Amino acid sequence: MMEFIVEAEIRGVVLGSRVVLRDIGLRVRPGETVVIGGPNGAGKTSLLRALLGLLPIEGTVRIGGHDVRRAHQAAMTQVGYVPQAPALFPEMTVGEHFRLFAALRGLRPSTLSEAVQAFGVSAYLNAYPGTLSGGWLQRVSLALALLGDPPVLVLDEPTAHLDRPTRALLWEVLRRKQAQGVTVLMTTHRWEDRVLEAARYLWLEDGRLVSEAFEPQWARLKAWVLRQPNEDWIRRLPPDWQILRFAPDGLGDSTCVVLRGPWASRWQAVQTLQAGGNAVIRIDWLSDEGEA
Amino acid sequence: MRWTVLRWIAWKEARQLLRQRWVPVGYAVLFGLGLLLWNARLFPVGWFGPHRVAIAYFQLLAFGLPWLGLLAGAQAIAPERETGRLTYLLTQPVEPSEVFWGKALGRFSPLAGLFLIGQGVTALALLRHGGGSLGMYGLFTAAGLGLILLALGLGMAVSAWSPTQARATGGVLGLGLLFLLVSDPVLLTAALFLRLSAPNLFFLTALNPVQSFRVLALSTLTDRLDILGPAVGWALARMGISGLRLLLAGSLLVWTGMAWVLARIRFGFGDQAVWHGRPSAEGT
Repeated sequence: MMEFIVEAEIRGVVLGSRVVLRDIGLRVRPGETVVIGGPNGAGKTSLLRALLGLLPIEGTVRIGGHDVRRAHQAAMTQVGYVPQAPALFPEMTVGEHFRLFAALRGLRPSTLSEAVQAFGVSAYLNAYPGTLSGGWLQRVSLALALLGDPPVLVLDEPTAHLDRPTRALLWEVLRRKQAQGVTVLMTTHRWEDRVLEAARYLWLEDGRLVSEAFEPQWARLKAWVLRQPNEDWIRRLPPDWQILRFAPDGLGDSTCVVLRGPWASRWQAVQTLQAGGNAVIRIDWLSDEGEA
Repeated sequence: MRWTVLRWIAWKEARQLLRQRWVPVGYAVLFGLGLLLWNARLFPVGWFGPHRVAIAYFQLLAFGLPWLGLLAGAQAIAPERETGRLTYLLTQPVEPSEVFWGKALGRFSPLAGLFLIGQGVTALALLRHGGGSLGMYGLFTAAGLGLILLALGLGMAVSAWSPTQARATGGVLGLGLLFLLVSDPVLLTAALFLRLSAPNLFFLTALNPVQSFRVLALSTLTDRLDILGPAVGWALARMGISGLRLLLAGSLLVWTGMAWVLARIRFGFGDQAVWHGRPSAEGT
């Protein structure tokens, strides 16, 4: 088994007169999850495109041992890609997209059902992309990326067009894929996307990886708990965790809890809240500077 | 290059082209007019004499086919590049050459198929009214297919060199106007003011592939090409009808080869990276 499924040594990427990426070394082990963050214009999409051999790079990128430019086809058999903006073909139905992409991957039509069902798109197989909402287009793109169970998933801001339930579905599918040993490379600028466990976080700024393992100091989470929660958990919260809000949410039979504490013990805090016998309906991760 | 991949990309392109509807509608208009012209041949006198009708039909095709080919070619690459769809397609396990030739095949097939259907119908009309040599009609049809291939290649070349759909469309409109409308008056003016000799005028005319097609098409109808003027008259006297046809077909071939090489060079360049010379709206 190879040590690294993705290996990149990118000395520079120039688009027009602008240097969009410089001095990037990235090695990803099979089964690893890498989340690339950074502000708008930092070069996140360019980095993914460079990794896929779609930009003129100075350097080398290998996926699954194949050079992405010299052996593009072989490298792409390893990859399922979701672009930031859905790029489906307007004159083809969703079903035709599945047929086309499956054929390009040499798959039989009978193997399509799992990918189609993963994101619940089977009801839209006869629909044209122009008739679907942004969220459903993104679901279709996500399902297409799963075709053939590629060992590497490359996702460019996959939550950009998704509502909360679909985001939750995406995390569930990604966790399942993580468990199956699939490598995930993902960009995001949403704080709440940093919820994948066991992920390595990279921070990109002005085309450079400024931090190989960027870890924020503080985490803030907002949880909705069914009914009035049992308050035992409050005593068991990890050290330095504070309760910023603890009140009925005013909309239904649930209570809204906002907590702030060290990033390193965030999962411990979540487990404590759940362990008290409380039915946690939903958890949103917030930027530490964001609104509670 | 894998035939299965080529076939599926061609299938996608043909589907896109036909679902846009303007190609079938364009052909319907073209051949509708053609049929009206052939039926007008029932009156074999005056303006509706058989040759005049046939000449009008050839002119109609010489005008219509390049536009259809150029526009179909212009839409092959630049719009997909602009919207990120080309990137998306290239993240599938395909080779750039498979994408390029799949696109070419997928766009040529419906254009050629609809042209052949139209030609078949007009051939029936021609037979019904009892005229013409089917062999010559076949040669004319082959020249028509050549013109489509050339126009599509030029359209794809412009598209491959354009970063946006708007520029590709503008480019082929300019090219179409140059070959179809502007070159004639320019040549006439040059002939008048520069006092061009007949050989020079002929070779300048043959440089325009659409003019080459027109003369080639007319040569399938009549041997009396001297009616086209002293330039063609000179060529006919010098080369004979077969030599003339060969030269005109050669001009079409050279243009076609050049167009496709240019398109392929820019599309591939030995590195798919050059397709994205500028960041798209999708992000950085």
